[in-house]
Amino acid sequence: MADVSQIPTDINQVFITLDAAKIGFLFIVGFIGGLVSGFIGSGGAFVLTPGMMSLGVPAAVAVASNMCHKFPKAVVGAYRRLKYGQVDLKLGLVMATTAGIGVLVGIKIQEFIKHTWGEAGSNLYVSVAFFVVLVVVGGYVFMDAQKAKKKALQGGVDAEKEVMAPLAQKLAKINLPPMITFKTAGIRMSFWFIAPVGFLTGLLAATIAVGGFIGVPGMIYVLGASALVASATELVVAGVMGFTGSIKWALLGMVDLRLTLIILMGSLFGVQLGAIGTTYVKDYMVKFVMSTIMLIVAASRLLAIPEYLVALKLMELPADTIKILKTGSFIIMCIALAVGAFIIMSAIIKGMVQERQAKAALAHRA
Amino acid sequence: MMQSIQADMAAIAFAEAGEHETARQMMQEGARKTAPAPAAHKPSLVTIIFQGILSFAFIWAVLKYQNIINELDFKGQSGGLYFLFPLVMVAIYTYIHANFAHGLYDYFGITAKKK
Repeated sequence: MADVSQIPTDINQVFITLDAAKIGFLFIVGFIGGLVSGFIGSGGAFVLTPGMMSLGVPAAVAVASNMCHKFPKAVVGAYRRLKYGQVDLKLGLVMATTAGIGVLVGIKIQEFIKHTWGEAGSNLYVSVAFFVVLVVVGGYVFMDAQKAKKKALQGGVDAEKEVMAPLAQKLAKINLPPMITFKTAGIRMSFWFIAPVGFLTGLLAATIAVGGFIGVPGMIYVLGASALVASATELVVAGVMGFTGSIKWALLGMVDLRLTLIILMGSLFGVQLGAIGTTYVKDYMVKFVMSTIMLIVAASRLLAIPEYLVALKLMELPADTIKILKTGSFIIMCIALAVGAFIIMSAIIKGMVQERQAKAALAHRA
Repeated sequence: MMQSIQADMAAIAFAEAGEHETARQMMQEGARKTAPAPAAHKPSLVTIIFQGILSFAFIWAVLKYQNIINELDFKGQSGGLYFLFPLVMVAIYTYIHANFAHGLYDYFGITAKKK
């Protein structure tokens, strides 16, 4: 995350010149980011910020403009999915409150690391955190998605119905006041088990800008929500955090409205399509898409680590190699988003075709 | 609607006259002709086009007057209510463009699966 000390003070350093190619690039990345976000509740931010920076946008402006596009996108996505009965507003607001505390602590940790080990140390911490979280959580979600898919393919109504995670079942039995009932998620859980999930979501959001990578799996495996409800509720958390973050950046004058609106133009198409897509897929599909993206992004961050190790003089590598690794890292991130978008689009098209065939068969019989 | 009422009235008249079979046939025919009401309101093409034009005009205006827009964005750091400028603009644009995108998907039949 960009910090206040890096903020440019000259207006000419803040706002870049836009041409048709840059506008097209931002629109496409916005659309794909929105599509993934509408489907899994998060995503897009990890490509948009470096994407904007690759166009010459200063880090602080890239983070600010990304944040400012994120909150309306999340609000629209949450509204659509609320209509489909997938959002647990109460859970989202409790998560967002505790996530807010996590963000503040995350920023403090970042400042401490930067003060002690400098910019390279801070970047190394972000990349290592990114890699460890994505591999551990992404790997677990991927295995769980495979199991759920196997069950669903074996058939039966019960196989399609998601069973509450074992940890969540155990936690739900512990009566530690205050106990909160979440109707849409169909769970009753102590606040003291929700708070750490929200806190870690905020902490990760302040570290790698994608809190949903902890928030969604946390709601599924710790709190016991279904993948559809978890991914939809994460949009509420993202909306609240995005709004407060946008105010902070707007007060610093770092929001580039042009960039924000162009990304928003693409992402509002994407987020609604992603939300529609969730009504055509089975629950395990959300887990599958999310874990696939997480694991590909983990590979991308692995390539970024040597650069920071060299900067900290813990390793030696030629400058050309570092440049290749850096480019490779960004390309893999774009691939992660493209793969996610491809899986989502295929699932939507397949689901819609099946739905129409079923309707046609029913009409034919009648 | 009126045709359906007239058909029902005629069927009742036939039933009262003892012609039950004719009345039943008329009622069945009437039921077949009465199409079920659409489940969801589909926006008109004119509305969608209008929202689309509005959305693109918004972007065009922002790019056309980008120097003024950039200055207003940057003024957020000078205090006052300037920081609200990008947030309000984003909220207005989201309302216009989200409705346009939703209407467009609806028009082309890309809608959520009915449970």
